[in-house]
Amino acid sequence: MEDISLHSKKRSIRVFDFVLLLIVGLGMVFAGHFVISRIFAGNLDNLSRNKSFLLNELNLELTGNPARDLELVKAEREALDVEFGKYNRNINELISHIDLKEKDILFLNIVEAYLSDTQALQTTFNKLEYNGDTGELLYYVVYEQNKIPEKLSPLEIPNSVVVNISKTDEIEFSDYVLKLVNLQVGE
Amino acid sequence: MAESENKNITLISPKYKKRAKKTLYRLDKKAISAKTAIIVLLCVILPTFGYFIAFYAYTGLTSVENLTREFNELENTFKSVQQLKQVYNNTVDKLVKLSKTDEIAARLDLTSQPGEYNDIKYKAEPEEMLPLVNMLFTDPGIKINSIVLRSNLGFPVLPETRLESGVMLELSVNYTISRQIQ
Repeated sequence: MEDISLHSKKRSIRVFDFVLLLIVGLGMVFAGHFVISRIFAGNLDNLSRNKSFLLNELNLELTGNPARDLELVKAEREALDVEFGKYNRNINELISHIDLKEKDILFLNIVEAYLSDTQALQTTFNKLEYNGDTGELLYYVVYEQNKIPEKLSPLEIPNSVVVNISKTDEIEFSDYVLKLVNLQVGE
Repeated sequence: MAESENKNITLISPKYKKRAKKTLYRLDKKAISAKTAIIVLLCVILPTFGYFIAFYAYTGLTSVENLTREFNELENTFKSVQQLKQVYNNTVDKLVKLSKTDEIAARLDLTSQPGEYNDIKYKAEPEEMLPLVNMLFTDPGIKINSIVLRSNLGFPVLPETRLESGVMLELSVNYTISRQIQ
């Protein structure tokens, strides 16, 4: 009788089983891929839902492809950066314009303060010159003969302002004393 | 005879009887060595796993993270732009309300379009001139480049003088009307 060994020492696997294993393995991989893609899609949906206000405001529509959406969002942010820079520049221009305007107003306040001399009987404006940085005011002050103060008495002005009284002439009348004052503001 | 018959008989244990009766298909008939099978399986499944799971998950996660970060930055930039825009527009609106460039231009018989206005001459009595000068100095839409205001009176009118002075003021001004505050 021929002796047949059913337990060959050389391990082998049927092709059918092999193909089955291959299909199951690949199936698991693709199922995993599908699950992961669903998770990412869910994340993107959540993100677009959370940022729906922003998307509406900017009129953006996500494609669902993260790489393409990333490019889209980057481009939009760059556009906003440009807009930010524009407004920043405009605000700086506005600030420098307002600073200049403050100097104009300060000069006007100084002129008004000196023309409203508290000790004088009368002040008479003669000439005013101003170029944005420096200004000059020429005016007469009239005092009573016996009530001439030692110095001019303008209304209150900010201390930080440099005011030079460069030239004064004096004319005496019987009841009044008249002074010509040249006032220079700025350096 | 019996001996030759015995030669053609194959004895199978009853344990494997069912298996011996089973119909064999083409794929059942062939077998490959287990070692080869494992190597082929690993060669197919590992790269597929690497590409479709590991690489896909990594790139996807990175992309979603980048997208989230980029979205947050976009939101911050958008808010900053909106705030800046609001501050700028509010400031300009307030300055426009304070501005009286139309009135000034009408008095000087000029237009109120933005730009430089040079060598403007105007002559008027103090009652009319002083408010105009005040407006020129205080108007936020106007930048004074230079201004000269002269009185035609070479001497002051003393307090007891009852006569009308007839003072006239002469204005010479260069100014710029801002493009922003319009």
